[in-house]
Amino acid sequence: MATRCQFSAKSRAFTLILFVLHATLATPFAIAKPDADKTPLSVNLEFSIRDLELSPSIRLQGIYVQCENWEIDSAKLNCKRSTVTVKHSPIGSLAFIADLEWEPSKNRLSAVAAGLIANKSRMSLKYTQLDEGLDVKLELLDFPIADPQKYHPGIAGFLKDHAINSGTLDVTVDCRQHQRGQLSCSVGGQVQSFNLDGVNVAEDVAADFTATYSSTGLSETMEFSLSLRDGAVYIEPGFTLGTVNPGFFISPAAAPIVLAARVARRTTGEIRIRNASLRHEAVVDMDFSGDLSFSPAPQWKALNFRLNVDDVSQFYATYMQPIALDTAFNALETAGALQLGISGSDNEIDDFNLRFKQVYIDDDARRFSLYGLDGDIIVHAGEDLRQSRISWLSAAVYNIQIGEGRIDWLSANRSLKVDSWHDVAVFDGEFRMDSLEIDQFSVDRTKVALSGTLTPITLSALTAAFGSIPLSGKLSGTIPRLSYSENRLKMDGDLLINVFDGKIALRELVIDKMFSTIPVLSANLSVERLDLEKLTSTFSFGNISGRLDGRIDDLVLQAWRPTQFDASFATPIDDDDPHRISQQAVDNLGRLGAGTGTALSQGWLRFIPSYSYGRLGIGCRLEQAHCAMRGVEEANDGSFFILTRGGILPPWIDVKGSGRRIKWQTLVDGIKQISQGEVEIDIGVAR
Amino acid sequence: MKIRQLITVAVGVCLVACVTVNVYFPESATERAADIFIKDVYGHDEQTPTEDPGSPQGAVKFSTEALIAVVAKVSDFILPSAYAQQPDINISTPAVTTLRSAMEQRHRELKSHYDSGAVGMAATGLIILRDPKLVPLQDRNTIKKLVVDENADRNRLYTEIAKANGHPEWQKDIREIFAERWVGNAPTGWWYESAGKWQTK
Repeated sequence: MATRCQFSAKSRAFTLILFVLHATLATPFAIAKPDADKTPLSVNLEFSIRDLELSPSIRLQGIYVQCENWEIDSAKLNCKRSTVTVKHSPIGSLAFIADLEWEPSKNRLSAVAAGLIANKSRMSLKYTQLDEGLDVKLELLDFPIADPQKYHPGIAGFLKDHAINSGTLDVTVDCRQHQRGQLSCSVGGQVQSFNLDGVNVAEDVAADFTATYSSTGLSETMEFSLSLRDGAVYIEPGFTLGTVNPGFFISPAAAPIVLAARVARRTTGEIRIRNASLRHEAVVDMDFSGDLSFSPAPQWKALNFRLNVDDVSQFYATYMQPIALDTAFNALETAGALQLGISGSDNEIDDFNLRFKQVYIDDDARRFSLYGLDGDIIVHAGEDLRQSRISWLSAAVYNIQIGEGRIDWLSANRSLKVDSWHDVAVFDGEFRMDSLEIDQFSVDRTKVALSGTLTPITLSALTAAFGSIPLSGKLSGTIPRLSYSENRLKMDGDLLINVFDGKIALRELVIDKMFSTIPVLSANLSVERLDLEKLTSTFSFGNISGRLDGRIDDLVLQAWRPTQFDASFATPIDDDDPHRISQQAVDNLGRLGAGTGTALSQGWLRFIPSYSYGRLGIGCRLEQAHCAMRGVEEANDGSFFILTRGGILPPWIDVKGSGRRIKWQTLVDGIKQISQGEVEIDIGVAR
Repeated sequence: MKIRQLITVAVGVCLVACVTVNVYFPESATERAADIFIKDVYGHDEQTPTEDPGSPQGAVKFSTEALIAVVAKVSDFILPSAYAQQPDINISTPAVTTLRSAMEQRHRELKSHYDSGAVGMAATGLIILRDPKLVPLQDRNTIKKLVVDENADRNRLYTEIAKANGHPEWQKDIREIFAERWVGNAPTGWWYESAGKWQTK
């Protein structure tokens, strides 16, 4: 017997256009009399649906189902190896072999299907519905994931401004819905040749992933792991530091990376994170666990963080440099290893332990360096004093070379104090610290303050390091208090430098934007009773005996070059030392201000090696790259004396200058040339 | 009648001359200084003394300059001291020299990114990574650093030039002129921002 039924139904989500049932009665109809004859009814079922709209975004067409052996008995309906074909745009054709079994008495429905999607991807589905819950297992192999929004428009919103250009997915999803709302799911699989375009980028990424989810009435728990094993990614998390949106370039092809975590959320709102880890081969190992509560306000009830970096160079390049791009630490050469451990509770850090192992840091812009950093910095919350120590082999701030050093720390009650230190070598001298304070540890707000005494440094080493006019002699002094914070170095009090048997006092020293392209130094200096004989003997200017006082007011250096000052140097009025000046020195003074060089080198004057003088002095007010010159005394003709006559017997000499305005660079070049015994300069002088 | 007109013109010229002296920002001098600076930064292989193609000032520039020249001549004749008060632009301070050196060096690394279009010249006188897709993934942080460093130096440059010339308030004008001259001196094919849109020169 053949039965043909045709009917149509239409609703918002479901439109059945045609339903055709061919049923062949193979055996007597048994449902009415199950006990009399246990042989099940066998039906050949075949039907097609032309257009089935499950939702606005899921529309199936050309559904065809054929079950040649539909068995029906009193206990169940059963169809084995039925053929199902469906067309879906854009997935393509789907063809399955499916088994279906329904046991109404047990409220059990079971469906198993396996087949091909678009003649390429394989899919299998196992669906079991029982009284006590639901069990669904889906397996997809080699499923294309390019342009996923075509499968569901909601995915476009999830991807935002990103596009998946290519990739295939193998995935197994296993979900169980238990009674009373308990749900557990596990997902596992891999993606291959994954290419993502947008702010975040993936290129030919291969990754494995697993995830499990379970929920009970009291909590939800999720555990996941993601292993990137090939390709490259660039990730911009979306936060801004300075003017930069940091991005991280990671190349799993070069160094595989594994992320994992277990997160539980309780109905009370508390989030518990366990076994969160980042394993980036040869770059970093990171572990984290913590309990976060939101009532009454977000608060870490407990946290534990461990970081292990075997190669600081790789770690800096991958994770630190991107977040430091808008800082002075954006171009460092680094090496060594470090470890960091932090544990805390109630939003407070209880233990902080930073350990360095042979760390080297070298700024590409040559502003600072630190070599051979070793040791620990420990901060803890307990009341007992805990000791730690760091040491280094050498360091430098700009051209100031600092030798081996050590700092011992003491910590208690979450504070850290310097306990003791090793005096450090500065060039060939030593800086003996009387005090050292370090506060507010952070990248840009750390405060350092120190005071101490500088034992003699050879000036030749200092001037060579700064590329300035070579000087001989020694430099020593006391540093009353030097503090550094927020890229600003400030000195309180006077730095007294003992040099050339006299004193130089450096006052109100401030260096703004210290580690920037253009540091700005401002200071005032006074010079007291320098021995000119010692000063002039340090370079080939010619000998002068006598003393020299002077001052430099309102000194401003930009990028370590002067842009402003008002300087004057002169023989003290009460100077009792002999005042003699060599012919060469007079010549050179003339080159700077009076042009008498040739006159003294000619005629009988050339036989007199030195002359007496009364006072000498020179001044310069630097503005707009030009020096407004002045001397020790004004002359009647509008010029000025750089050197006045002195002594009882002739010959007497005066050196006069009339060039009131001279380009600063010309003056500097001239002094350098004179100091090297080279050519003279022409600055427009009176003869 | 003619005498009255002549007096009116003369008074007008005087007024114009006086006003020019009082409010004058040395635009031409700044443009010349900017051109010198930028050509140093771009290097000699980038010599393209073309006018900014997108600049609406291009068409009227001649007449504006000519007018200024005429007014300057007249004012020089009537008020000789006026010309002397017109300031020049100093770009030879240590800070500017340091910045020029740093920017010259950096430009060698940036040039290929200007050429590719990854980096463009913004209307603010700064540069922007306008199309990161043109930069290989492994080089993206390098180019980001170059852009950050360059912009920091450009901001300092405009401030320093204004300060060095005794007029911190000129910073905005200097920035605008530099913004135009960075584009004006750039070779063809580089991207620049004009009226909120990106276009190639």
